[in-house]
Amino acid sequence: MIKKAFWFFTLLGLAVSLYLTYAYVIAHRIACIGGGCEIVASSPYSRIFGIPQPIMGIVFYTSLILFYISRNLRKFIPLIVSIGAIYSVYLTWVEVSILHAICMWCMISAICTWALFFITLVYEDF
Amino acid sequence: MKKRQKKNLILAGIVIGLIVIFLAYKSINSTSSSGFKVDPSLVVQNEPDPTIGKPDALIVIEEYSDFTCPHCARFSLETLPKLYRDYIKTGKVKFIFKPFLRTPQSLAPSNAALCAYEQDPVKFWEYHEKLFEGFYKAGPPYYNKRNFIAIAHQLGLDVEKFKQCLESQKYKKDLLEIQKEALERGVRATPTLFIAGYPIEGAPPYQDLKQLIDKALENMKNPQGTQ
Repeated sequence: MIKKAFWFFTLLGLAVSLYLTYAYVIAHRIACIGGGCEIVASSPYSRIFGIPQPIMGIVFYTSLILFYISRNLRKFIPLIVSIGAIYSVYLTWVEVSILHAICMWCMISAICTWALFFITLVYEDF
Repeated sequence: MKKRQKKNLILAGIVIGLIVIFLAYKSINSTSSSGFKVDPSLVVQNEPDPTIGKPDALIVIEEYSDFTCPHCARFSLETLPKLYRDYIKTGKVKFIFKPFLRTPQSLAPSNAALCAYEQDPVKFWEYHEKLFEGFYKAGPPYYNKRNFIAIAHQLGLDVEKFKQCLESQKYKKDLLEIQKEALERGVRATPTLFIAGYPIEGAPPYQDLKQLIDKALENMKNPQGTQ
């Protein structure tokens, strides 16, 4: 069950990151409920050191998959997930406190990351 | 042993995450303005709307811009300096900035910008850039009286006169006139540019804008080429 949840949140997060990368980098248009996505996407917080945040999302979720597949690297998943979880707290704080705009896709990704953090805490395989 | 290792990895992850957040936040907030300085001789005096360009410029670009619109901020901070360098300074384009009230929150910064314009049409351009820069970094809460006055003070404007202008919402009527004019011209979103009268919705990348301007300039030189 926990293993299934791990895959569910990882793949959902990856799908959201892939869509956001397409929407942000290629299409320049994001389908969004509430209209907050445009504000978030056009703010300087949409990039980290010049790299679009959705690309960082792809790197994050892909590394989780690769680390999970590799038996030797699996033990480092808690390290990766906790970096992602704390960074998601920061991004959500930026949306709520600085930009006053909520991007629904970013929230889905943040929830996936926090769920993965919780799974990491309880899953004994890591 | 395994549990302890996991705990250490989580703690290490949180520490690394915090360092990344600190560096990311610092890099965003240390970004300085584009340093967009307007040559005073290119600022057209006694115009109702802020205008830059040579009197005999070949084409006019009007921008309906909203201070609460992130795309307008990006246009003013990133595209306008390039437009200035390549077309305005070279006498090809005259640029008119029209503050458009898209939301009720647009009134305060638009009025503040026109209060700055009233005092110094040259410093207006720096004032508008600083407004957009603050909004771009800090979002809508940046638009408060304290920040409006702080920028005015920083640019050496008459702060007392500025405060009076701000408090009386001196330019509300003019701004509503601009809004009416914009709606009559079909403006539905911001920014909307009118390049030689031809409307362009949104903030196009500079390369696309360049092509549109070059086409408009070509049409000016060769009117037969136009439809």
